[in-house]
Amino acid sequence: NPALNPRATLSLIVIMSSSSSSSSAAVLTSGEGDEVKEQAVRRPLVDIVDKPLSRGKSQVTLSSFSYLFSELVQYWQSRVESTQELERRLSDAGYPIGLRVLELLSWREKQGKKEKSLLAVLQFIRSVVWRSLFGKVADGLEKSTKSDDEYYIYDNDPLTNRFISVPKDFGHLNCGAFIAGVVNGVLDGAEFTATVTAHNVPNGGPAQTVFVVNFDQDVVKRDAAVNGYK
Amino acid sequence: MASLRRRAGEGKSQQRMLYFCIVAKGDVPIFEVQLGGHAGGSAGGSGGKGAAGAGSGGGGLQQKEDLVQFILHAALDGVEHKVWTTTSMYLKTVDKFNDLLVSAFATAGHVKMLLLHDHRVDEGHIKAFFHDVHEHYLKVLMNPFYEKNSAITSPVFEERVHSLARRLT
Repeated sequence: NPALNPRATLSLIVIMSSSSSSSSAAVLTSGEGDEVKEQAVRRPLVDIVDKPLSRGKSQVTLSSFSYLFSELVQYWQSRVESTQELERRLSDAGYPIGLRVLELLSWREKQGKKEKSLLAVLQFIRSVVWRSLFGKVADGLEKSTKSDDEYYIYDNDPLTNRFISVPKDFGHLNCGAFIAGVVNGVLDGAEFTATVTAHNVPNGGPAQTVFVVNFDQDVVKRDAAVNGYK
Repeated sequence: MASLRRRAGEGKSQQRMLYFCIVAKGDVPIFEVQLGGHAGGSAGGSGGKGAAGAGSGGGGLQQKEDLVQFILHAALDGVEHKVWTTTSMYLKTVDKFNDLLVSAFATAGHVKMLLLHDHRVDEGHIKAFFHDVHEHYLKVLMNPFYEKNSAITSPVFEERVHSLARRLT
């Protein structure tokens, strides 16, 4: 069944476990009396600061990620009172990933350039971040006609929701809240504070999700002043 | 707590003014060191004035350190101003104090690195220094147990910064 085991280009787990994993495996307690020398691989403990940064070529199976994510959802599900809080918890889990993704991808993909305009940072998220995390660019980026601080990012099939079915009594729960948290982290880190929420698109495809980005007013004002429009 | 062990009479030697710090959100320093020749003169730790060690030559050096922190903090205004004018992370010189210059570097996550130096330090070296420290910072940041904007306490990180700084002198 190809749907269960495609290789999704997903660096979430990789980032989450990147540095600490190999350094903890290094020291094996092989005392004087031990016979097991042929199995033991003695690697010296290398500090994370001395290891090179990942070049972003590693992949994680979709099934591993889905398993881990489902555990995350189930963990919080038993500890919250409402679906909003569940979404908030998922979003909080994604937030530190966003902070790291911003820094890492700016260094790796953008040759040490940072964005200074609102549109540029949204384009960065839509293309660079999405491509690095999910292997494709986001399916749409739109500006709201209702207000000048609202933008929409569309994803027709967010990875987090692939294997989640929401029963009726959970209402409008969208586990893409995790991805919304990642986007929130990226924006906050880049000093474009915003609130990001994930919603099911009523008329869209069955899995289509829209991430609604609401920037703070002072961010909008600063952006207009810095980039000289309006 | 960071304790400063000052050797007596240290302040009288020809010490180069070379002070580096990393400032996170909220203008909180998360890493501070005095670079250059003297091994006994490093102050690590977050937001601390390092007042913990009262050495015999402590009075004059303490004032100097307070002054340095003051200069760097004031330089943050210059950084704020410059950071929105360019997409490059290296911000060159953002402030001056008497004959000392403050050069800055702002990462994509707006973590600011400041270097207080005199005019004898070559700009190309400073840029390279910032880029290398930036890479080490990224490695610290990628640690999922490290909370962004918290103090960097890794002694290996501090060692690496010192060795990179040797290129500056």
